[in-house]
Amino acid sequence: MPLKISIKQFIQILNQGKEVIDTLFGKKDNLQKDEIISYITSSNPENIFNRLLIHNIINEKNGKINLDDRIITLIEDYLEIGEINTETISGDIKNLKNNISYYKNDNQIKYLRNIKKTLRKVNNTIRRQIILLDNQVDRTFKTEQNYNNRLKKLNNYRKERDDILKLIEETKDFLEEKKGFFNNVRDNDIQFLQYELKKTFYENKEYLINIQAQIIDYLNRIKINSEIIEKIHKIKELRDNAELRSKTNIEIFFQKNTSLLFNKIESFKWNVPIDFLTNNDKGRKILKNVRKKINRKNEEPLKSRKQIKKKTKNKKEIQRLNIDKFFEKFEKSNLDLFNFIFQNKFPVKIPQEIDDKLSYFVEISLDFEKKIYFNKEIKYYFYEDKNGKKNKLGYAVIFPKNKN
Amino acid sequence: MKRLPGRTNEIFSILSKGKFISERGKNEKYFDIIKNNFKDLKNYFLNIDFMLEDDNGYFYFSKPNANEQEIERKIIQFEKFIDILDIFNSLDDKILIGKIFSISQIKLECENTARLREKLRKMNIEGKTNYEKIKNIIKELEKNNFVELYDIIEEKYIVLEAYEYLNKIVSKMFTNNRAK
Repeated sequence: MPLKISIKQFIQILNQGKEVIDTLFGKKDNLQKDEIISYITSSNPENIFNRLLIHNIINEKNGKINLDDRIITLIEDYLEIGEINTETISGDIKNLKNNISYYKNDNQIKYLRNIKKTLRKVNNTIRRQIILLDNQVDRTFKTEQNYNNRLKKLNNYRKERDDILKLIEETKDFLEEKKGFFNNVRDNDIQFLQYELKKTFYENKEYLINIQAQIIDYLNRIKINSEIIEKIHKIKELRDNAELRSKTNIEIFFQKNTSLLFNKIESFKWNVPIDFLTNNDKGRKILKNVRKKINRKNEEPLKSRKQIKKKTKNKKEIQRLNIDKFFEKFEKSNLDLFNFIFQNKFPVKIPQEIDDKLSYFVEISLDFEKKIYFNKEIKYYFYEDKNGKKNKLGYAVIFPKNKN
Repeated sequence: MKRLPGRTNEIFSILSKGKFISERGKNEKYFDIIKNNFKDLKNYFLNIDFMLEDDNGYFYFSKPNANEQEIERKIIQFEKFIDILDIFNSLDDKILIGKIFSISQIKLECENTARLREKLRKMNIEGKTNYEKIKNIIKELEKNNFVELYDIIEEKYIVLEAYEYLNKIVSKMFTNNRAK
């Protein structure tokens, strides 16, 4: 039990311990005595600490210090922060009813004060609860990571919203029931508080409807989402079975979808404006760098014959076969195309593996289609590959038309 | 013609690559510019044959005169997203707009669930390890601004509003089982 003190003394103690109260209220965790004392800026912190303890502003349990619940409630109620308990509203109405009946029997000011206090409390609780509910609904939909919890929480808020409505109705009924008292009591404050409470009901009725609509919208969006989840699994299954085109509207859908995400992204080509290169510092700098690069290529130091020979030996230069000239040679020969290619002595730089020779064969038969003829004869060529495996290759016998 | 807002060039540069601009993330500033000048920008881009599309918290470009013959390529493009959406929608902790997730978290769930492990194994995406595969999935989504890097050290990503676009495509598609 705290020692009996006056209001003045109580405020004085709170003032002396303001650093401790502020720290403990903010942290809400239990702190060690030494830590608490370090927060006190007064010259005799130990003394102030003991005073706070004696008057039950703070409590000590197993060496840990915490703020007394009544102080926490006082601060929370005054600042309108912290948890709100709507369940107390029914108790508050009971309390109001009792105090009204006491007052009717005995016109004592303390009953009136209790009525005012409770009316203010009911008003604050309803107002704060609605704002809190709105924030919670929004936060849950946007930040709750767990899908099932998100669904459960939103459904709970839906019930909570209904509970608030019930409480409002209950309070409205009470005001109606005690209409006689509220109309006859000669106290401006009570009249004002009654008016404020009615105003809260009126203003928040629409707010609650909006919250309900928001909850339903969020729940629908979750439902749509779960339908999409089901659908994506189905589409994936069709895709895996190669049935996506035959069993869905995907082709029609993508005919209509013109989003750039799925359309070929154009790369923009542009030319350098001449003015930029000649009349602009940046342009001139670029031009200078380009010139330097070109000159560097031309100014490559001369190499000795030996060096060049060495380089050529190390790096086999590859040249492409001049098909036109090669075909002219073929026209002059007496061989068929296949044998002409396979017996020809190519320069070292020309690729001449079997695959290369075959590609010359195909290339010539396609490019010079009009200048050659097939004698409808298939011959075979036998060869061993790099691994010593024997292979048989069938080829069409092709001659140039001029030999015909 | 009305003066266009500053940074129109930067906006064009993002959207013309087929990327999205969402309400949250690093492109938030561009989102606000478009939102406040939507009509002017829409008219302007339409002149150069780009349709500025406005959806639920994101903007993107469509091409009104796009070649409709390229369906084949579009479907192939979309198919890679089918795999990604399938994996993401099979996770216990669903990937939803605003969600912050890490590569390691997805990897862990994929490795601990046989069904997901199998999906990841069969998925046609580069990567020798599960980590590499998931990283490449995320890169694919990051490329078009569906997700964005949130925490470089823990490799966390945030899902942007534009991600809804992929779900919308799925919701608009119907299979033969349903009424056409």
